[in-house]
Amino acid sequence: MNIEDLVYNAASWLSGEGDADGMVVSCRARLARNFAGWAFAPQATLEDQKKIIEQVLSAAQKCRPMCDAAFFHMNALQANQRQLLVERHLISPALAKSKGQRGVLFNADESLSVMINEEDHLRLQAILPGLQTHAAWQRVDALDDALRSELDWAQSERWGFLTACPTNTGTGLRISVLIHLPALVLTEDMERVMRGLTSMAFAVRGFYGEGTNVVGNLFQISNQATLGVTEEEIVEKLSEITQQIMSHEKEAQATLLADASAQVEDKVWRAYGILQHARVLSGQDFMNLLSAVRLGCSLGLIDGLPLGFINELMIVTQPSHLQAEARADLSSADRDVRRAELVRRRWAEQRGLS
Amino acid sequence: MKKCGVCAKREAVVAFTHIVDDVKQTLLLCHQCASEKNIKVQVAPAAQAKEAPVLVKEIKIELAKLAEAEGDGEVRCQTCAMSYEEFKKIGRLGCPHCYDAFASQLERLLKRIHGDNRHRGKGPLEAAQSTGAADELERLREELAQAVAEEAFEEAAQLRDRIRVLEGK
Repeated sequence: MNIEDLVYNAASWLSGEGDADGMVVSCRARLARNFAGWAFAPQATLEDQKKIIEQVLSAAQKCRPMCDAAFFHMNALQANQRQLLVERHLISPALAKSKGQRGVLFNADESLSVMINEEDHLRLQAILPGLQTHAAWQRVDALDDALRSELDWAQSERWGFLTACPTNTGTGLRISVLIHLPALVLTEDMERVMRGLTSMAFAVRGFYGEGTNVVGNLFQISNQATLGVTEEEIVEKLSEITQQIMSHEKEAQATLLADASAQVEDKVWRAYGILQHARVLSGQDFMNLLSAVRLGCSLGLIDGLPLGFINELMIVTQPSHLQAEARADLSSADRDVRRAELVRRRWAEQRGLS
Repeated sequence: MKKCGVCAKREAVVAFTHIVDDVKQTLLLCHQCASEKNIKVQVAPAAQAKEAPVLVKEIKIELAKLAEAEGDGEVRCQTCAMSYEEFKKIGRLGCPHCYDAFASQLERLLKRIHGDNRHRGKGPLEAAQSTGAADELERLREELAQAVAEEAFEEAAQLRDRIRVLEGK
């Protein structure tokens, strides 16, 4: 498989399925796992890192969820190709940047992936559309079970699964939702919500996780504690919290519509028009306009625009996706032109479909 | 008269207090052992009088120095040779055995990070079928006894609540 072809692959987590309110784009469950008797990846020798990759690949071949998965070794990829995987949420920015023997394994619809030799020997990930936190946990749990029948994980009775960083010790489970909260941002209530989440030991981050900015009113909410709680408790708590935030967002949306319906409608429809006709779109501009359109869908103002279309647009307009499609390095100015072109073209195709 | 905590022979004249991972430890030392450990003893002028008890007002020492002098202060993992100090710098442990080597430090660190330091999630493959409430209860009771012995009453209260829930089932 040619990595640039991923640009044309519709990842299943972008389908918009299970997102009745147009709020929760996706949810992701990841498990940190390490081999017993080996140094953790950052301290392991290149030789050991290589052996770890070999063992993971041979175990993955025998396990049903991953038997047809594609593997990419980071050393075989250009910087832009690695960034393409980051944009598709298949690898972390840290894996793209790190040195040594490392790679990623993912299945055809990109719902399951395994990062090898990031901070931990393995990072198993299941990513699903909408608020399907329990299903995401079950998928990654099953993958863990399949792999651990072949491999020996480092774990202790007292502290559970042992990880390179003590913030992951225990279950090694980090579960997150990617949620769109435009009204809470507009009404300036988001800060209060964030404070509340932090006090409950839940983290709020940007689009691409740790250390990334919030763009297009998209927030990633995840658990902090991984020890002293069961996996089910973590998953249940995140579901509960997400539903609470969704109801806050709905209230804020209702307030906006009641207090300033003309302004809100204007914002939505202007964005709808600009996206279909603009000739230059910066990444930031685009994400903000798309956020307004998504809000229009949530409010029921815009009808017949599938969420899957919006979600996919959000990924294919990222810088490395634009470069992969152009099969060339592009300057920022060139990208802004191509981004606008791509959005117009995709929108026209979408109109043809509906 | 207290004896020196190191040589256990001479009279202790220096009380050295240091803090390791939030736990205050006081070590009583004689003059000789203190100077061997590079602890600069600043004796208050009044205390220099023969009949007056020896008072040590300020002892300034870099913690690292003492740790080095004590030998056992610098904890190292026997498997990957990472020291606890190195771990604190880079924030990543070297290998799974580091968890044993730094057990007492990690016990507190994990509690600070997660608000708890006992795993309750998925267990090992072979234990997946056998782990029942009885084992869990036994483990919790052991932990409770330990928490009480350590006077960790907050933790003890949490454990007691968990035991009650399990017993109620």
